Amino acid sequence: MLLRIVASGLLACLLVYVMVPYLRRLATHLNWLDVPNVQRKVHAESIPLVGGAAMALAILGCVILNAGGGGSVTALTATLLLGATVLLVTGLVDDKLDLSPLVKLFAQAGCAYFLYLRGLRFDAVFDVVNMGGLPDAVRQVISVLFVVGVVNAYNLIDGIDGLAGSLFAVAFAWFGAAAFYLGAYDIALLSALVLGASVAFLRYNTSRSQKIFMGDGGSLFLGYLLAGCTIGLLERGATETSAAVWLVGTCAVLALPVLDELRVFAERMAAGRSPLYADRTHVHHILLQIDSAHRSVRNWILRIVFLTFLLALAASVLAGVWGGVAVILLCVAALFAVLQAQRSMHERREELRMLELRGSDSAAPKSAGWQK
Amino acid sequence: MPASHQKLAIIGTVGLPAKYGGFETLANHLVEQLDERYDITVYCSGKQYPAADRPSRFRNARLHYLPLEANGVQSIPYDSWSILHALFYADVLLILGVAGAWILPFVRLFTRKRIIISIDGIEWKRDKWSWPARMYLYWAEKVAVRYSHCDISDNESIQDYTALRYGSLSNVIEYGADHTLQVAVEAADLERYPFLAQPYAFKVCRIEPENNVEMILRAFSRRTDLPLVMVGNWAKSAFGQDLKDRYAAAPNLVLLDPIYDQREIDLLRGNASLYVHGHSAGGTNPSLVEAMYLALPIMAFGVSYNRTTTEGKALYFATEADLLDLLENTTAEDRRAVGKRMGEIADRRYRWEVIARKYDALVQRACRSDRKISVRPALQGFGAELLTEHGAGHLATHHLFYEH
Repeated sequence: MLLRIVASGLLACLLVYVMVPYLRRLATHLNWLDVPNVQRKVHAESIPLVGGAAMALAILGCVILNAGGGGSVTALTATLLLGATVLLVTGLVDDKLDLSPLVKLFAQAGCAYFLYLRGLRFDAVFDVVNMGGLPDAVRQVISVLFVVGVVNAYNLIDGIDGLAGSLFAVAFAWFGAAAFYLGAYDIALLSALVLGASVAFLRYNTSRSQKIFMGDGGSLFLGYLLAGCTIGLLERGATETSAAVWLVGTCAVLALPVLDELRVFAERMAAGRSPLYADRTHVHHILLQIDSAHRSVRNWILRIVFLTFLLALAASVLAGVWGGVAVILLCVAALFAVLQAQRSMHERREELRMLELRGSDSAAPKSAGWQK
Repeated sequence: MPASHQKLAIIGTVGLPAKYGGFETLANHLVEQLDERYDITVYCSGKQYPAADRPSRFRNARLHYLPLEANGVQSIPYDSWSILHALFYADVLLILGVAGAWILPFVRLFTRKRIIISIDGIEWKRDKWSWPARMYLYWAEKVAVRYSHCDISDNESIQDYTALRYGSLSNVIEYGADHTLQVAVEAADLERYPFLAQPYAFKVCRIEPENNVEMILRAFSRRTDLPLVMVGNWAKSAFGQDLKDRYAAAPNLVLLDPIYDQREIDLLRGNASLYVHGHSAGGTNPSLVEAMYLALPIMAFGVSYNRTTTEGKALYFATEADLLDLLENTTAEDRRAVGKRMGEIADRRYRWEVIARKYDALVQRACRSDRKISVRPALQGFGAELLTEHGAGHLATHHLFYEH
């Protein structure tokens, strides 16, 4: 089984690698491009938005090839891919036509509820955190909100080269290893496929000459798979004696994008704006103020995620679920405090720049003008 | 408490006798002017004064050496150690720079020492510091202003900034320049520096991008009538070395390495016919006030700090084209008039006697009052409605000085 999973992951990687150059050309013909928007986008030229479609095609193809393969493709796989494909199409339409945020939200909520109806929901996990007595309606709301939250979080963090792709790769690497250990081969296979596809995508996404984006289609597709795999993995891990490790490890890899999304939403609402208002306040935007190189910002975010993950796992082994959760919250809160200070410094810098320029107009350096 | 019994600790300088830097020169002159009135201790860096060269006193001031560097990251433990040591005996701590400010909340909580802190230029804004250093300085400045009895800005534009950021009124005290001497050119000098025989422009600064060195070199390299003599630490950075490589051969430029001999620097500066000041950061720059004291005509980068230092009466440029325009379109007579105005301003404002008097008054005020002066008039605390009801609504809305 391990060989099948690894080989499938490599095949997904190869398929994306081979497909992208053709899809890039197609995208240029169809004007399937990301056109720069000076206010928020951080690129100057138009970039093909084919990453999502390439990854989705490779993953679907590999799943079909594995359909007869001894339990590596199950009803869970079919459910996840069906919902993810609906979101992929929504995202592709959004990339082309710029759908309203509410339409996208509605599609995400519908697909999230579909998972719930198909039985992919938080249940045994509540016992792990001593909340087994929650009413069914509350479990339903939490499950749906979780999926919508994760999908959106990864959609929003897709702001600089290689960041969302790397975060997906990191999350699915952990999911793949954990699922294989737990014997959940369907999740392990899906994780290996996404990991392989993400690695090939990153090769192009971080390239100068052959750059592509995953677009909303890609981030919604992978975000949905991520949320679904999280629920599936945690539910299967919840019955193990080591449930705390699976729960905390999974929370740790998801924490930064999800909590950053909540922080940004809370700030926008506190300022009297819609939580979906577009601005430049996400973690990567603030880190770009410090270092304008995408590569550095991406590496810093990955380092933070990795450190949080290691500390949280150690804490979960020593102090159980709540110890691990406390460490995650502490790490992210510390990061947010630093980001807040950086933002404040950045705003003051702008203010200061205006102060420094004061008087420049009234005393223009014209040879005739200065003499009084 | 009579001033004659007060013990004043001066913290944050490299040490005395002053060898370099604005704060060291300031400490030097404060000791000269105030050592009869106060029992002064100055903290010095043992790293800059080798054991064989450590006097225990400078005039009437006691010198205390610490085995740390006063600049860079070591300035944090250096200043902190100095502050802790001063707590044992000093009545007033005069802290120059904010590196050790983290300790001030504890000093205020556990002691009744009076704290005066000079926040220097706005250090956290300067690109020469790394990001963690800028973050620390940004935070430390806030702590410094909040937990000191009085804070000092060296420029009115920095006072505007502190008013805007903290809502408190900072005390503007600049630097003196009357230690600068007019040196007559001797035959040996002419041999060493042949350019002294003709008119030339002069500039002395650290070779850093924020001092607009390249813009000035480019402008002067395009002219042949007025040579530029620039003194700076070219060898210290790759930026400086690159500039020197590219411009050293230009016939109109004379690029000299740092000069630490006061007579020599005064000789070159005092006999120039134009001083070019490209600094864009750091509040009131000692090198600018020194050039003003020598009544040199000044062409300065048009940032607000330089405008307030020169009271808007120098010649200002923002770009290379502006500078070339000024060089081409001002006559020797125009420049002489500017120089005269600069000399008048420096004579009125930038003498150490005036500066020391301001420090003395500030120490006395810090000893009298626990409260910082707010930039908002107390009446505004009553609210617009109540003020309007009593016929004083205009007081609720009037503009404050930094809003103009």
